[in-house]
Amino acid sequence: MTEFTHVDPGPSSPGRRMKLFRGGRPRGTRRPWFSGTVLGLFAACGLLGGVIAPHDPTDVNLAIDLEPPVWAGGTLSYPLGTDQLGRDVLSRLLSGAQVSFLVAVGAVVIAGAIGLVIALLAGFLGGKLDDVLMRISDASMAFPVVLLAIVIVASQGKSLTVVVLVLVLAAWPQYARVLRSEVIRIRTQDFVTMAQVMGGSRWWTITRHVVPNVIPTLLVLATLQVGLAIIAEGSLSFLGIGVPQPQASWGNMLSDGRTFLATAWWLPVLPGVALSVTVLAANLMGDWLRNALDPATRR
Amino acid sequence: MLRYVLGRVLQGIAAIFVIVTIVFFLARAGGDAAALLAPADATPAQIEQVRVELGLDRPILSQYGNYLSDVATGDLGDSTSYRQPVADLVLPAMAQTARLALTGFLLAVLLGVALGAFAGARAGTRSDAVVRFVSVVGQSIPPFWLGMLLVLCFSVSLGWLPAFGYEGNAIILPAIALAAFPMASIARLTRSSVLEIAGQDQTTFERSKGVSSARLMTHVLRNASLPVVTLAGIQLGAMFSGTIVIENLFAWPGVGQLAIQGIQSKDYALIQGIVIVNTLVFVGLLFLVDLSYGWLDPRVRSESRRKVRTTAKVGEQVS
Repeated sequence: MTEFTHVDPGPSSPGRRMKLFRGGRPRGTRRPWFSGTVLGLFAACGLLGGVIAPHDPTDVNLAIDLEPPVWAGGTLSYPLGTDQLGRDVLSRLLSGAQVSFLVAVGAVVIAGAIGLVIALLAGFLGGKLDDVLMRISDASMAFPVVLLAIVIVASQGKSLTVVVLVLVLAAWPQYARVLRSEVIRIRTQDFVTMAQVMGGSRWWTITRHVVPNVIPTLLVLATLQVGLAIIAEGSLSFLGIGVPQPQASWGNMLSDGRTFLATAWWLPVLPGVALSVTVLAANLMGDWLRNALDPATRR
Repeated sequence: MLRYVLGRVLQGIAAIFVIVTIVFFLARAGGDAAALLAPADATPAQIEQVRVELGLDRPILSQYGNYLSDVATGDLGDSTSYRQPVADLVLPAMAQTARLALTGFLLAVLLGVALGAFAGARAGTRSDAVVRFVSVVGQSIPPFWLGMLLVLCFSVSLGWLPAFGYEGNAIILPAIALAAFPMASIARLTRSSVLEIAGQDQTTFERSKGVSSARLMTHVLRNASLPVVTLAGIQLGAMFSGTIVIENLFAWPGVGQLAIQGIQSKDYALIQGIVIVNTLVFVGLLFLVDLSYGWLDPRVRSESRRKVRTTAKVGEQVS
């Protein structure tokens, strides 16, 4: 917690040496308009991307390759320009949003569910099982994501499913660790003891009293993980071990676009902007949620 | 302390053992291991030859035993695409990767701790807001895209720095691209850790005694350093794999490049070797981090590592 018992002495007068450790409370959080809007747009594109796309994202037309965006001298029918094969960049961005959305939601939901179950088992039942589960999560957390992807892709080939699998394998320990300490904290509280004294079954106590209380923490974690999942998908696709071509994904577009850094800036820049803004929104939303509804993990 | 060190060594060995086992069985889970370990263009007769040479026609447990003893003696097999021992390929590449990763790590820690400590000590001011903004943005930009933007800016437009290569100042751009993400998370954690210590009684007491700001800062930082060291250690390990993407972008001749070439030429033996060497490095680094706890915090010397590790909270993700 960030408690300060000091009154802010105001801005230091000129000529005085800068004084440290005299600040006031960090300012209160505002409503997350920016991140809410961006994430809403992202979800909309993720669900409806195929419907609103003006062109087929994989439609090759070499007659109109490398057309710039409309504000840089392009035409309105291809508002964000075309790539080296004449494919519409806007349609590809929307299609990429679908991939990122699918991967992020898939990875976050599956990893979150696994993490929650492990956390309940480890935290509520405790004992030897707790030790074993936490050792396993330690070991999996220590193993780097990209390396994991390389091993799996090298032995099993690449696909969207493999991407989600890799992200789930990399992410579940994070949920398990944090939620476990939450479960332990809640288990020792009076209302849970009361529920058990009352004769409530273990299942009932967990589903009725423990789970609802870890949901806020789970939500915060999941939101922060959305950003990480999107970056990871981008990195894997960029390396050519993620989403298989010619499916448009933001990582694939960046990988294709990197050879056009000097000649067609919109190809490497636009997908990166989409990626970064979406991840930024998810991170800001996660921070806001943490402050708003989860005092336990507030820092 | 000796018991603590011994325990950590045993855990490290166990971790390496688990990884080697997983890598071994993954190769055999995906169908014909001989086809996987033979050169990509091998004829059926050649695949059969590989099967006999590597003993893949023997029972799986005896294969596993052989494999373990090979790895333990440093024999990682032969690369099928380069046709030379994997160890001879991976070790020089690892040296290059280490050079890049350590440079990036140093940058990330120095800048991250400095920015975080400054922001924490000046909480609520404008400079704090700037640092917080920079660190949220730093955690949102994918490293490979940051690298591309740096190339676009400093190589293509300004022509100041080379866009690829590995000699002289060619290390600057990849090191920055690699450092940005961990720097941002180290800055965030340092800030909140400093804030926490700054709110405790001993800081209030020291300040009321009239201790100077600089001296106060050293005291606060020392107390705030434990979670930061954990994170930095994890980040250092993560940087060794984070370099894979950056090496690919900047054509840096490290392990990451080698791994991607291994994938493209379906050289599973090479990939196995890279994963095992990487795990060794990672486990070694975590071991050093754990030792540094003992040095920083006398309480740890007697306690188990788990209790300290629970200080890791939400948001300390690793890339």
